[in-house]
Amino acid sequence: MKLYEYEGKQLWKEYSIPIPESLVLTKTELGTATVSQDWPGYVIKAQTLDGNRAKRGLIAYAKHPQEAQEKALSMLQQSEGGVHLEKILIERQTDHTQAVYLSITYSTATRTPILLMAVNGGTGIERKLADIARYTINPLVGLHPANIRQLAYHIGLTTEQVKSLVPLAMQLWRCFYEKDCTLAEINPLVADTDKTWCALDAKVELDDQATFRRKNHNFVPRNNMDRLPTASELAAWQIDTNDHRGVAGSSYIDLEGEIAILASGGGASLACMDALIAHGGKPANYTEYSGNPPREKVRRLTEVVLSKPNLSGCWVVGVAANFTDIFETLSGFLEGVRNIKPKPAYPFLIRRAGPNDKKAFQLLRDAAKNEGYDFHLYGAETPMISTAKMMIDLVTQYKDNGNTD
Amino acid sequence: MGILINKQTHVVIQGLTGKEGLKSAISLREYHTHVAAGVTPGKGGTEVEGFSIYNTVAEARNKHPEINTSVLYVPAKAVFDAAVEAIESGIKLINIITEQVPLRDVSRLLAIANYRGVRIIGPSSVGIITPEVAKLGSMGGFNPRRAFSKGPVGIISKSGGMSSEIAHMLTQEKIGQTTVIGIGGDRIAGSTFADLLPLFEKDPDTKLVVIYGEIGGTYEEDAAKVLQQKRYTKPLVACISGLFAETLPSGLNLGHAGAIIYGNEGTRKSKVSALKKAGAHIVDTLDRIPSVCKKILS
Repeated sequence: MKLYEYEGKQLWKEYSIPIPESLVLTKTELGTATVSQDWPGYVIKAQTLDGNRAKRGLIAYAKHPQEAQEKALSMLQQSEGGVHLEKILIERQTDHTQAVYLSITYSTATRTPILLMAVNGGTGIERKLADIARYTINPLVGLHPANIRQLAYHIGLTTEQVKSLVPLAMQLWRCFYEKDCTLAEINPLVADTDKTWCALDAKVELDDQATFRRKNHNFVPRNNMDRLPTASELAAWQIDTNDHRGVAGSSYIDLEGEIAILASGGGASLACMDALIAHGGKPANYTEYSGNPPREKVRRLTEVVLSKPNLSGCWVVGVAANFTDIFETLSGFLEGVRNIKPKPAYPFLIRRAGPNDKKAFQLLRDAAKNEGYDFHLYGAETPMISTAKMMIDLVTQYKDNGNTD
Repeated sequence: MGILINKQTHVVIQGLTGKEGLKSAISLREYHTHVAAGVTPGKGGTEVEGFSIYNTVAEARNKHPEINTSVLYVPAKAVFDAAVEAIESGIKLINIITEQVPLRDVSRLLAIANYRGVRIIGPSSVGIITPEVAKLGSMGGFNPRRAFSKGPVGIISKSGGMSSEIAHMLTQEKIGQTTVIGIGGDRIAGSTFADLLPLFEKDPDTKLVVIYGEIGGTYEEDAAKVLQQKRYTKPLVACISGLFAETLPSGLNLGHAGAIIYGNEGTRKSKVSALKKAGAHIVDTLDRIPSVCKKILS
C-alpha cells in the first residue's frame, strides 16, 4: 500500500524525523482553516499517490497565507474530473543549502534491504541511478551508524552534516523495519547552514503482507490509481477480510469494458487478461480468486463482478486447479449468478478444470437448461488462452443479435 | 534424473495437520514420494491418515533420520519461525508453499539459509515435480499424471497455475518434463530462474528449459545474465506475461506481489529484450510454447 505524503510524514514524526510545520486540509476545511501568518513562504502540495506532481502542476508556492489558500483552491478545482484529490498539504517553506536523496527499499537482486543516498536530491533522481550510492543491508545484522557514515562521506557531505544525518537515517531504518515498509524514501532531505536536516517529502510503501504486525495503523483502503475506490472495489476488497480461506477479490479493479472477469490464479489471470487485450477484448474489471476459497466467497465476488451495468459477456477462466474444489467454487458462482437481477442474458464462457469438475459442469449444464442461462463450458482439453478469442466472438455475436444495452 | 528431488527425497511436512497440508501429504504418498512425518506444535504423538505427527522438526528427524526435505504449509505469520527450525535441524531443501509471507521475514530467512547452505524454493511456491519420480507441495494435486509426463523439458515458473498449464500443453504434444518448479511470484524469491538454470545445465536429461516470467523485479533479466555468462548453455524458451498490467498505472501490483513496475525497471519490454539478446527463444503467447519446443527438440 502506498501512503500519501502526509501519512508518510506522520510516520516520520512518530520516528522523530524532522518535518516542516504543516497543515492538512480537505476541500471543506480549505475555506475556513487558519493558515499561519508568519511563515517565510508557503508550499502547497496536492496529496496524490502518483509521482511527478511538480510537472502536473500539483505543487505550488505562495508568499502569503491568503495566496496559499487561493492556490490550493484552484488546484482542487483544476483536479476536478481528473486526478482524485481529497487533501492538500500546506507547508512552511524551508530554506536550504543542501538537498539529499535518502531511501531504504528491498532489492530483488540482493534479496535484502538496501540504503540509497545521493546529493542533489529532488525531482528526476530516479533517472540518475548511476549517481546513487548504495549499501546492502544484511537483514540479520541491521543498519549501523558506520554504514551510514560510509555512504554519507562517499557522496561528499561534510563531517558536520554526516554527524546529524546518522541518527536520522538510523530512525528511518527503524521505521522501515518496524513498520514493515517496502519503501521509505525522503526526497529531498534538506539542510540549511545550521546543519539540521528536515524531510520535505515522504514516499512510503507498506508491505500488504505484514498488515497483521501494524496494529496501531489503520490506513484507509486505496487502489493506487489516483481515483476514489468504486463501490464495487470496496465491496470486493471486503470479501477476504477476516476469512483466510483462499483469496477472492482482494485485487479487484474496475475497468471500463464490457466483459466481466472471474479469473483464477495470480499468474494465470494475468496471462488471460493479456490474451483478451491482445485480441481486442474490453474487460469490465480485473479480479481473481484462488487457493480453494469457500463457495460463499466466490458467490460474493460473482455478485460484485456481475452487478455492473452494460455487460455483454462474462469470462470465468483459470488453469486446471490442483486442490481448488471446482464444484464448491462454481456452486458459489452459480448462486451469485442467480442473485443478479435482471437475469443475465449475455453469454458466459467457463473454462475450468480440477477436483470435482465433472460434477460442477453437470450442475452448470442443468442450470443452463432449466433456468435459461447461456453457459459455454470448456475443460482442460481446451487451452486456457484460446478461450479469450472464443469469449470475444460470443460477445460479438450477442451484440450482433441486437443486444446493445 | 531431473533436479532438486529424487527417490532419495524424504519429506517432513510442517503444518501437515492443516487442511491443505494434509491434502498435500496424501497426494505425495499417492505419487510414491516418501512423507516420513508431519510437524505441528501441540499435536505431537498423534497420527493423521497414517502420518506420524511430532511437535518439533528435531524430534521428527530423530525418529526419521532420513528426512532431508521440508515442505511448509504453516500460516504466513509462522513461516519464518518454522523455516528457521527446519534449517537448525539440518534440513537442506525447504519448499515454502505458504503465500503472503512478509518481505521482512523472507529477506531475513534467506540470509540465514544462505549462511547455512540451505536451498529455499518459495514462498508462494506451488511445489516441485519430477514426473514419475517424486513431487512436493501442491503441484499436480491428486492427479499429477494428467498434466505431467516424463521427458526432456525443464520448467521454471513464477506462476503455479501456469507451470501445470505449460506442462499439460507439452504433455498433450507428447513432450515430457524433467523437473517442473514453481518459484512463486513474490518480490523476493528463495530461488530464482538464475539460481536454478545452472542446475538444469548439469542435468543430462534436460535438453531445454521453459521459463514463465512476469513483470516486476529483475529475475528475468538475471536469467539473461546467466545465459550470457554461459552458466546455462542449453536452449531457453521464455514467456513473459504483462501486456495488460502495463496498461495500468505504475506501482499497482496485480495477481502476484512481485508484479510491480517502477519506472522502466521490471517492464515486459526490458525483460524480453534482455532475454532475446542473450539468445533465448521468446514466445509472445503461451499456446506457442509446444511448437517452439518441438522445433528445438527435433
